[in-house]
Amino acid sequence: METLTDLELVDEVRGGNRQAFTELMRRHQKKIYWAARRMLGTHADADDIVQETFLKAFMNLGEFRGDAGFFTWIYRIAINLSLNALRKRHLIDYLQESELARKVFPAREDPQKDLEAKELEAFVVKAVATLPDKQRAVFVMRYYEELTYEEIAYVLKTSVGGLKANYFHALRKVQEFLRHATES
Amino acid sequence: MRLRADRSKVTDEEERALEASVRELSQGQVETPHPADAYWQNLIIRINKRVDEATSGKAISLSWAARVAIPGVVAVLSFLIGLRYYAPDRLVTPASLLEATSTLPSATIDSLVALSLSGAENAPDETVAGWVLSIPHEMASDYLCEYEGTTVLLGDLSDTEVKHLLSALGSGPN
Repeated sequence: METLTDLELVDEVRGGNRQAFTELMRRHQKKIYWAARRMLGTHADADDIVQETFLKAFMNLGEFRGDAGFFTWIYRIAINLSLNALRKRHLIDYLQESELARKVFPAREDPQKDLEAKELEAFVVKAVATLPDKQRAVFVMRYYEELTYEEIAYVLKTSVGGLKANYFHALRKVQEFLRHATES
Repeated sequence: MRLRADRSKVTDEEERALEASVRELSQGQVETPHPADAYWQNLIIRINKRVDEATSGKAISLSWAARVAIPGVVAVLSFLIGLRYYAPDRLVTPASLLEATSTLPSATIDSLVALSLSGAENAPDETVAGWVLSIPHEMASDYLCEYEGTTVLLGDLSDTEVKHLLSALGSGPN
């Protein structure tokens, strides 16, 4: 199983071999996890995204045509799920700011939140968290995963043109944040 | 005032320099803790379990019901309800006056006949005669020739009616 390529494993899965899917997960779970964690900032959210990504990939394997690599395909699923999670989070943040919402959704007080706060200690993570969603996605894919602009364009279903500017602006914001953080 | 983002083209060198600066600034910082090795093995088991649940017969039938069956039934019911209560009446133009009249109920026909005669009962004889005799003279000639009833017809008519009839036929009283 380990000697097979991703595409061969995909064919095996389509033929009903679940062991092949386990091998695909073993190969790619860490990269998917870190992409999601860098996008969302917490372990719990990243864990959810990895599970959802592989579940969605398995259920929609028939739609995978092989025009991009299997990893790029599931990476796209993961990034899209992360962007959706960010949008949901923005909505919840917005709702929680209102007086009524504070009564309906009282502030959480649990050890998990403290843990998450500690996780956010790293300045880069904090800096990434300040970026707008799309810039954040481009930054994670380019800075950490070192994907090409063509790959990022495929993942975000966008043209290469604007991505370079997106990444440059994201870099500038992170640099500024880090400078302020290290000075203080 | 917020300025528009600088859209001038970024060169590869500028990008690399900025990236290097960010990497340098972020060096030596607290690294995000990595999950333990057991976590990865456990994650695969959990995902496989979720895949099993999602592909079980019950999950598939629920999914099929939610995606296909329920919307389908709702659509058919909506169509039938719409057809029953909201469909416009069919507008059929009758081919002829006779056809249109034949579709009327007999009571309506009777009342229409009575209504048409009610005007004639109260109208002066001259007026009624005018209605009856205001026909093309060819038609009146044909009628009289066919039934050869000129004497009978003239005998039953009053002088005024005879006058009207003859003038309709195109000749004056002799």
